[in-house]
Amino acid sequence: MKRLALVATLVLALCQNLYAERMTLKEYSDLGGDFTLIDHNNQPFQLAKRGKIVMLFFGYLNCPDICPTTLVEMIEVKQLLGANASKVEFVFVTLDPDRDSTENLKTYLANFDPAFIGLRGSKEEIAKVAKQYNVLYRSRELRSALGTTIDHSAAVYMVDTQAQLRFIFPSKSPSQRYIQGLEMMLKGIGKDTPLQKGDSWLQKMMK
Amino acid sequence: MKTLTLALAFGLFAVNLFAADPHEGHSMANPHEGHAMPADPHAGHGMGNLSAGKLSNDASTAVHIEAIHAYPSIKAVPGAVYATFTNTAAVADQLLSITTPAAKTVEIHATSMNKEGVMRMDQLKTLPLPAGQAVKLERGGTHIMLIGLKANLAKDEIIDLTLEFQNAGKLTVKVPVWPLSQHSQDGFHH
Repeated sequence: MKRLALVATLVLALCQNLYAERMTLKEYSDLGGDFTLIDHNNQPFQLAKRGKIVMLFFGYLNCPDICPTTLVEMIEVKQLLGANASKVEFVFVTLDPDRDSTENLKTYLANFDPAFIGLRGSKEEIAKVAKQYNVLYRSRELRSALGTTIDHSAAVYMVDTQAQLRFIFPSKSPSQRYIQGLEMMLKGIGKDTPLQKGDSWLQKMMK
Repeated sequence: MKTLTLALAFGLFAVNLFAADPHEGHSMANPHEGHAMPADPHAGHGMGNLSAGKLSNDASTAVHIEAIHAYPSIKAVPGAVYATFTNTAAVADQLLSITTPAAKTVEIHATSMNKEGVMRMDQLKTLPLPAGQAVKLERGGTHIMLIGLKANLAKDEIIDLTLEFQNAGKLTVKVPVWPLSQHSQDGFHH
Protein backbone atom coordinates (compact mmCIF):
# COMPACT_ATOMS: atom_id res chain seq x y z
CA MET A 1 0.00 0.00 0.00
CA LYS A 2 2.81 2.30 1.02
CA ARG A 3 4.65 1.42 -2.16
CA LEU A 4 1.60 2.15 -4.24
CA ALA A 5 1.31 5.57 -2.62
CA LEU A 6 4.97 6.24 -3.36
CA VAL A 7 4.62 5.21 -7.00
CA ALA A 8 1.47 7.29 -7.29
CA THR A 9 3.24 10.34 -5.86
CA LEU A 10 6.17 9.93 -8.22
CA VAL A 11 3.89 9.55 -11.19
CA LEU A 12 1.91 12.58 -10.13
CA ALA A 13 5.08 14.63 -9.91
CA LEU A 14 6.14 13.37 -13.33
CA CYS A 15 2.77 14.23 -14.82
CA GLN A 16 2.85 17.71 -13.43
CA ASN A 17 6.18 18.17 -15.13
CA LEU A 18 4.79 16.83 -18.39
CA TYR A 19 1.88 19.20 -18.14
CA ALA A 20 4.17 22.06 -17.35
CA GLU A 21 6.25 21.32 -20.41
CA ARG A 22 3.23 21.35 -22.63
CA MET A 23 2.00 24.69 -21.36
CA THR A 24 3.13 28.15 -22.09
CA LEU A 25 1.96 30.90 -19.82
CA LYS A 26 1.41 33.16 -22.75
CA GLU A 27 -1.63 31.16 -23.78
CA TYR A 28 -3.30 31.88 -20.48
CA SER A 29 -2.26 35.40 -19.69
CA ASP A 30 -5.29 36.88 -21.46
CA LEU A 31 -7.77 34.69 -19.64
CA GLY A 32 -9.99 35.82 -16.81
CA GLY A 33 -10.24 39.30 -15.43
CA ASP A 34 -12.72 41.51 -13.68
CA PHE A 35 -16.44 41.69 -14.43
CA THR A 36 -19.64 42.94 -12.85
CA LEU A 37 -22.87 40.95 -12.87
CA ILE A 38 -26.01 40.92 -10.70
CA ASP A 39 -26.18 38.50 -7.78
CA HIS A 40 -29.16 36.45 -6.56
CA ASN A 41 -30.19 39.29 -4.24
CA ASN A 42 -30.25 41.73 -7.16
CA GLN A 43 -27.07 43.40 -5.93
CA PRO A 44 -24.11 44.20 -8.19
CA PHE A 45 -21.25 41.75 -7.87
CA GLN A 46 -17.86 43.03 -8.97
CA LEU A 47 -15.20 40.35 -8.91
CA ALA A 48 -12.25 42.61 -8.12
CA LYS A 49 -14.02 44.18 -5.14
CA ARG A 50 -14.82 41.01 -3.25
CA GLY A 51 -11.58 40.87 -1.29
CA LYS A 52 -11.86 37.09 -1.28
CA ILE A 53 -10.72 34.14 -3.31
CA VAL A 54 -13.51 33.23 -5.71
CA MET A 55 -14.28 29.75 -6.96
CA LEU A 56 -16.18 30.42 -10.12
CA PHE A 57 -18.12 28.15 -12.38
CA PHE A 58 -20.72 28.34 -15.10
CA GLY A 59 -23.87 26.33 -15.69
CA TYR A 60 -27.64 26.50 -15.86
CA LEU A 61 -30.41 25.40 -13.56
CA ASN A 62 -32.14 23.08 -16.00
CA CYS A 63 -29.01 20.96 -15.91
CA PRO A 64 -29.92 18.49 -13.18
CA ASP A 65 -26.77 16.43 -13.39
CA ILE A 66 -23.33 17.99 -13.79
CA CYS A 67 -24.18 21.40 -12.26
CA PRO A 68 -25.44 19.95 -8.97
CA THR A 69 -22.45 17.62 -9.00
CA THR A 70 -20.11 20.60 -9.10
CA LEU A 71 -22.12 22.36 -6.39
CA VAL A 72 -21.79 19.29 -4.19
CA GLU A 73 -18.02 19.40 -4.79
CA MET A 74 -18.11 22.99 -3.58
CA ILE A 75 -19.88 21.91 -0.38
CA GLU A 76 -17.12 19.37 0.21
CA VAL A 77 -14.39 21.91 -0.51
CA LYS A 78 -15.97 24.37 1.89
CA GLN A 79 -16.07 21.74 4.62
CA LEU A 80 -12.46 20.76 4.00
CA LEU A 81 -11.37 24.39 4.19
CA GLY A 82 -12.61 24.68 7.77
CA ALA A 83 -11.83 28.13 9.19
CA ASN A 84 -10.39 29.28 5.85
CA ALA A 85 -13.81 28.89 4.23
CA SER A 86 -14.60 32.48 5.20
CA LYS A 87 -11.85 33.63 2.82
CA VAL A 88 -13.43 31.95 -0.19
CA GLU A 89 -16.61 32.72 -2.12
CA PHE A 90 -18.38 30.09 -4.24
CA VAL A 91 -19.96 31.65 -7.30
CA PHE A 92 -22.25 30.12 -9.93
CA VAL A 93 -22.82 32.08 -13.14
CA THR A 94 -25.88 31.11 -15.17
CA LEU A 95 -25.42 30.63 -18.90
CA ASP A 96 -29.20 30.61 -19.26
CA PRO A 97 -30.31 34.06 -18.04
CA ASP A 98 -33.58 33.85 -19.97
CA ARG A 99 -34.82 30.94 -17.89
CA ASP A 100 -32.86 31.36 -14.66
CA SER A 101 -34.40 34.20 -12.68
CA THR A 102 -32.60 35.70 -9.69
CA GLU A 103 -35.33 34.22 -7.50
CA ASN A 104 -34.75 30.72 -8.87
CA LEU A 105 -30.99 31.10 -8.53
CA LYS A 106 -31.47 32.06 -4.93
CA THR A 107 -33.80 29.22 -3.92
CA TYR A 108 -31.86 26.68 -5.95
CA LEU A 109 -28.48 27.56 -4.47
CA ALA A 110 -29.91 27.75 -0.95
CA ASN A 111 -30.54 23.99 -1.27
CA PHE A 112 -26.77 23.54 -1.42
CA ASP A 113 -25.52 26.35 0.77
CA PRO A 114 -27.21 29.71 1.41
CA ALA A 115 -23.76 31.35 1.23
CA PHE A 116 -23.26 30.28 -2.41
CA ILE A 117 -23.65 33.17 -4.79
CA GLY A 118 -25.62 33.03 -8.03
CA LEU A 119 -24.92 35.53 -10.80
CA ARG A 120 -26.82 36.54 -13.87
CA GLY A 121 -26.85 39.34 -16.39
CA SER A 122 -28.12 40.04 -19.87
CA LYS A 123 -27.27 37.52 -22.56
CA GLU A 124 -24.59 39.88 -23.85
CA GLU A 125 -23.06 40.42 -20.42
CA ILE A 126 -22.95 36.67 -19.78
CA ALA A 127 -21.42 36.06 -23.22
CA LYS A 128 -18.71 38.60 -22.48
CA VAL A 129 -17.76 37.01 -19.16
CA ALA A 130 -17.87 33.53 -20.71
CA LYS A 131 -15.50 34.72 -23.40
CA GLN A 132 -13.13 36.21 -20.80
CA TYR A 133 -12.92 32.81 -19.13
CA ASN A 134 -13.02 30.78 -22.34
CA VAL A 135 -16.25 29.06 -21.34
CA LEU A 136 -17.58 27.24 -24.36
CA TYR A 137 -21.36 27.04 -24.49
CA ARG A 138 -24.24 26.89 -26.87
CA SER A 139 -27.99 26.32 -26.70
CA ARG A 140 -29.39 23.28 -28.41
CA GLU A 141 -32.98 22.23 -28.94
CA LEU A 142 -33.73 18.79 -27.60
CA ARG A 143 -36.70 16.71 -28.67
CA SER A 144 -37.51 16.45 -25.03
CA ALA A 145 -39.85 18.04 -22.52
CA LEU A 146 -36.79 19.98 -21.46
CA GLY A 147 -36.81 22.03 -24.64
CA THR A 148 -33.50 23.80 -24.76
CA THR A 149 -30.37 22.37 -23.27
CA ILE A 150 -27.07 24.18 -22.97
CA ASP A 151 -23.87 22.37 -23.81
CA HIS A 152 -21.12 23.96 -21.78
CA SER A 153 -17.60 23.44 -20.58
CA ALA A 154 -17.69 22.51 -16.93
CA ALA A 155 -14.52 23.87 -15.39
CA VAL A 156 -13.95 25.49 -12.02
CA TYR A 157 -11.96 28.72 -12.06
CA MET A 158 -10.04 29.93 -9.05
CA VAL A 159 -9.59 33.67 -8.92
CA ASP A 160 -7.49 35.53 -6.35
CA THR A 161 -8.41 38.65 -4.40
CA GLN A 162 -6.98 40.82 -7.20
CA ALA A 163 -9.35 39.20 -9.75
CA GLN A 164 -6.42 37.33 -11.29
CA LEU A 165 -7.28 33.91 -12.65
CA ARG A 166 -4.93 31.47 -10.98
CA PHE A 167 -6.18 27.94 -11.52
CA ILE A 168 -8.53 26.09 -13.81
CA PHE A 169 -9.81 22.68 -12.77
CA PRO A 170 -11.98 20.28 -14.71
CA SER A 171 -15.32 19.52 -13.11
CA LYS A 172 -15.26 16.31 -11.05
CA SER A 173 -11.75 17.04 -9.81
CA PRO A 174 -11.06 15.38 -6.48
CA SER A 175 -11.76 17.84 -3.65
CA GLN A 176 -8.14 17.59 -2.56
CA ARG A 177 -7.02 19.14 -5.85
CA TYR A 178 -9.14 22.21 -5.22
CA ILE A 179 -7.80 22.38 -1.68
CA GLN A 180 -4.21 22.25 -2.94
CA GLY A 181 -4.91 25.20 -5.23
CA LEU A 182 -6.73 27.15 -2.55
CA GLU A 183 -3.98 26.57 -0.01
CA MET A 184 -1.36 27.86 -2.42
CA MET A 185 -3.44 30.96 -2.96
CA LEU A 186 -4.09 31.47 0.75
CA LYS A 187 -0.35 31.31 1.35
CA GLY A 188 0.24 33.74 -1.51
CA ILE A 189 2.38 31.25 -3.44
CA GLY A 190 2.87 32.24 -7.07
CA LYS A 191 0.82 35.38 -6.77
CA ASP A 192 2.91 37.18 -9.38
CA THR A 193 2.08 34.59 -12.01
CA PRO A 194 -1.33 34.96 -13.62
CA LEU A 195 -1.92 31.23 -13.88
CA GLN A 196 0.32 28.93 -11.89
CA LYS A 197 2.55 27.00 -14.21
CA GLY A 198 2.09 23.27 -14.01
CA ASP A 199 -1.05 23.47 -11.95
CA SER A 200 -3.74 23.58 -14.54
CA TRP A 201 -5.26 20.23 -15.26
CA LEU A 202 -7.32 21.41 -18.16
CA GLN A 203 -5.11 21.86 -21.17
CA LYS A 204 -7.77 20.90 -23.65
CA MET A 205 -9.99 23.77 -22.58
CA MET A 206 -7.33 26.27 -23.41
CA LYS A 207 -6.76 25.61 -27.07
CA MET B 1 9.39 5.03 -26.32
CA LYS B 2 8.45 8.51 -25.33
CA THR B 3 4.85 7.83 -26.26
CA LEU B 4 4.83 4.69 -24.18
CA THR B 5 6.20 6.50 -21.16
CA LEU B 6 3.66 9.21 -21.64
CA ALA B 7 0.78 6.76 -21.94
CA LEU B 8 1.98 4.87 -18.89
CA ALA B 9 2.38 8.04 -16.90
CA PHE B 10 -1.08 9.22 -17.80
CA GLY B 11 -2.60 5.86 -17.01
CA LEU B 12 -1.04 5.89 -13.59
CA PHE B 13 -1.92 9.52 -13.17
CA ALA B 14 -5.54 8.61 -13.71
CA VAL B 15 -5.24 5.86 -11.12
CA ASN B 16 -3.73 8.32 -8.71
CA LEU B 17 -6.47 10.84 -9.39
CA PHE B 18 -9.08 8.27 -8.57
CA ALA B 19 -7.21 7.05 -5.54
CA ALA B 20 -7.12 10.59 -4.20
CA ASP B 21 -10.89 10.84 -4.28
CA PRO B 22 -12.66 8.40 -2.02
CA HIS B 23 -15.88 8.54 -4.03
CA GLU B 24 -14.32 8.13 -7.41
CA GLY B 25 -12.16 5.42 -5.97
CA HIS B 26 -15.13 3.41 -4.85
CA SER B 27 -16.81 3.96 -8.14
CA MET B 28 -13.89 2.44 -9.97
CA ALA B 29 -13.40 -0.38 -7.56
CA ASN B 30 -17.07 -1.05 -7.02
CA PRO B 31 -17.49 -4.79 -7.42
CA HIS B 32 -21.14 -4.31 -8.33
CA GLU B 33 -20.36 -2.30 -11.39
CA GLY B 34 -20.56 -4.33 -14.52
CA HIS B 35 -21.22 -7.59 -12.70
CA ALA B 36 -24.28 -9.70 -12.68
CA MET B 37 -25.57 -9.77 -9.15
CA PRO B 38 -24.68 -7.81 -6.07
CA ALA B 39 -23.01 -10.12 -3.57
CA ASP B 40 -25.07 -8.65 -0.79
CA PRO B 41 -28.80 -8.47 -1.46
CA HIS B 42 -29.09 -5.83 1.26
CA ALA B 43 -26.41 -3.64 -0.25
CA GLY B 44 -27.39 -0.14 -1.14
CA HIS B 45 -29.85 2.18 0.42
CA GLY B 46 -32.49 0.28 2.32
CA MET B 47 -35.43 1.74 0.47
CA GLY B 48 -34.08 1.25 -2.98
CA ASN B 49 -33.75 -2.52 -3.20
CA LEU B 50 -36.49 -3.98 -5.27
CA SER B 51 -36.91 -6.37 -8.09
CA ALA B 52 -39.20 -6.20 -11.05
CA GLY B 53 -40.47 -9.36 -12.69
CA LYS B 54 -43.62 -10.55 -14.35
CA LEU B 55 -43.71 -13.17 -11.63
CA SER B 56 -41.94 -12.23 -8.48
CA ASN B 57 -40.10 -15.55 -8.37
CA ASP B 58 -39.42 -15.70 -12.09
CA ALA B 59 -35.73 -15.07 -12.37
CA SER B 60 -35.86 -15.24 -16.16
CA THR B 61 -37.41 -11.77 -16.39
CA ALA B 62 -36.03 -10.03 -13.35
CA VAL B 63 -34.47 -6.62 -12.96
CA HIS B 64 -33.00 -5.83 -9.60
CA ILE B 65 -33.17 -2.16 -8.62
CA GLU B 66 -30.65 -0.96 -6.15
CA ALA B 67 -30.02 2.29 -4.27
CA ILE B 68 -32.65 4.22 -6.15
CA HIS B 69 -32.72 7.83 -4.98
CA ALA B 70 -33.49 11.39 -5.98
CA TYR B 71 -31.87 14.62 -4.84
CA PRO B 72 -33.52 17.78 -3.51
CA SER B 73 -34.60 20.23 -6.16
CA ILE B 74 -36.76 23.27 -6.53
CA LYS B 75 -39.99 23.07 -8.47
CA ALA B 76 -38.74 25.38 -11.21
CA VAL B 77 -35.93 23.06 -12.32
CA PRO B 78 -35.80 19.35 -13.12
CA GLY B 79 -34.91 16.77 -10.51
CA ALA B 80 -32.66 13.76 -11.05
CA VAL B 81 -33.01 10.12 -10.01
CA TYR B 82 -30.17 7.60 -9.89
CA ALA B 83 -30.12 3.84 -9.32
CA THR B 84 -28.40 0.65 -10.31
CA PHE B 85 -30.42 -1.73 -12.48
CA THR B 86 -29.23 -5.29 -12.63
CA ASN B 87 -30.79 -7.50 -15.25
CA THR B 88 -30.52 -10.96 -13.73
CA ALA B 89 -32.19 -12.61 -16.67
CA ALA B 90 -30.48 -14.50 -19.48
CA VAL B 91 -31.86 -12.14 -22.11
CA ALA B 92 -31.46 -8.43 -22.63
CA ASP B 93 -34.15 -6.14 -21.27
CA GLN B 94 -34.72 -2.42 -21.43
CA LEU B 95 -36.34 0.28 -19.39
CA LEU B 96 -39.03 1.63 -21.68
CA SER B 97 -40.78 4.34 -19.75
CA ILE B 98 -41.10 5.96 -16.36
CA THR B 99 -43.90 7.92 -14.74
CA THR B 100 -44.38 9.60 -11.38
CA PRO B 101 -47.15 11.58 -9.77
CA ALA B 102 -44.42 14.03 -8.70
CA ALA B 103 -43.62 15.34 -12.18
CA LYS B 104 -45.24 16.00 -15.51
CA THR B 105 -42.69 14.12 -17.59
CA VAL B 106 -39.94 11.64 -16.84
CA GLU B 107 -37.09 11.11 -19.28
CA ILE B 108 -33.78 9.31 -19.38
CA HIS B 109 -30.83 11.53 -20.19
CA ALA B 110 -27.14 10.89 -20.59
CA THR B 111 -24.44 13.43 -19.79
CA SER B 112 -21.26 13.17 -21.79
CA MET B 113 -18.16 15.25 -22.35
CA ASN B 114 -16.51 15.88 -25.71
CA LYS B 115 -12.80 16.36 -26.22
CA GLU B 116 -13.08 20.13 -25.78
CA GLY B 117 -14.34 19.54 -22.25
CA VAL B 118 -17.88 20.54 -23.17
CA MET B 119 -20.62 18.70 -21.31
CA ARG B 120 -23.78 17.85 -23.15
CA MET B 121 -26.98 16.06 -22.33
CA ASP B 122 -28.96 13.85 -24.66
CA GLN B 123 -32.23 12.07 -24.23
CA LEU B 124 -32.22 8.28 -24.43
CA LYS B 125 -35.39 6.69 -25.78
CA THR B 126 -34.88 3.63 -23.62
CA LEU B 127 -32.27 2.37 -21.22
CA PRO B 128 -30.77 -0.90 -22.50
CA LEU B 129 -30.17 -3.50 -19.80
CA PRO B 130 -27.85 -6.23 -21.12
CA ALA B 131 -28.41 -9.72 -19.75
CA GLY B 132 -26.67 -10.42 -16.49
CA GLN B 133 -25.25 -6.92 -16.17
CA ALA B 134 -25.62 -4.01 -13.82
CA VAL B 135 -26.28 -0.59 -15.32
CA LYS B 136 -25.39 2.18 -12.96
CA LEU B 137 -27.00 5.59 -13.18
CA GLU B 138 -24.84 8.12 -11.40
CA ARG B 139 -23.96 11.78 -11.26
CA GLY B 140 -22.23 13.02 -14.34
CA GLY B 141 -23.56 10.11 -16.40
CA THR B 142 -26.93 8.62 -17.23
CA HIS B 143 -29.79 9.84 -15.10
CA ILE B 144 -33.55 9.81 -14.88
CA MET B 145 -34.87 13.33 -15.18
CA LEU B 146 -38.06 14.55 -13.54
CA ILE B 147 -39.29 17.43 -15.68
CA GLY B 148 -42.06 19.72 -14.54
CA LEU B 149 -41.97 18.94 -10.82
CA LYS B 150 -45.29 19.58 -9.14
CA ALA B 151 -43.62 20.69 -5.91
CA ASN B 152 -40.13 21.21 -4.52
CA LEU B 153 -38.36 17.95 -3.75
CA ALA B 154 -37.09 18.11 -0.20
CA LYS B 155 -34.60 15.89 1.59
CA ASP B 156 -36.17 12.78 3.17
CA GLU B 157 -39.32 12.97 1.08
CA ILE B 158 -40.36 9.83 -0.77
CA ILE B 159 -41.85 9.80 -4.24
CA ASP B 160 -43.41 6.98 -6.25
CA LEU B 161 -41.83 6.06 -9.55
CA THR B 162 -43.39 3.56 -11.95
CA LEU B 163 -40.91 1.87 -14.22
CA GLU B 164 -41.87 -0.18 -17.22
CA PHE B 165 -39.42 -2.77 -18.51
CA GLN B 166 -39.80 -4.57 -21.80
CA ASN B 167 -39.57 -8.04 -20.26
CA ALA B 168 -39.67 -7.54 -16.52
CA GLY B 169 -42.93 -5.64 -16.65
CA LYS B 170 -44.12 -2.72 -14.61
CA LEU B 171 -43.09 -1.88 -11.10
CA THR B 172 -43.75 1.03 -8.78
CA VAL B 173 -40.95 1.84 -6.38
CA LYS B 174 -40.52 4.29 -3.53
CA VAL B 175 -37.74 6.73 -4.24
CA PRO B 176 -36.25 8.51 -1.22
CA VAL B 177 -34.83 12.01 -1.65
CA TRP B 178 -31.27 11.79 -0.36
CA PRO B 179 -29.28 14.70 1.06
CA LEU B 180 -27.30 16.40 -1.71
CA SER B 181 -23.98 15.31 -0.32
CA GLN B 182 -24.85 11.61 -0.14
CA HIS B 183 -23.32 9.56 -2.95
CA SER B 184 -24.57 6.27 -4.34
CA GLN B 185 -21.34 4.65 -3.24
CA ASP B 186 -22.06 5.53 0.37
CA GLY B 187 -24.92 3.09 0.26
CA PHE B 188 -22.74 0.10 -0.45
CA HIS B 189 -21.00 0.08 2.92
CA HIS B 190 -23.67 -1.07 5.30
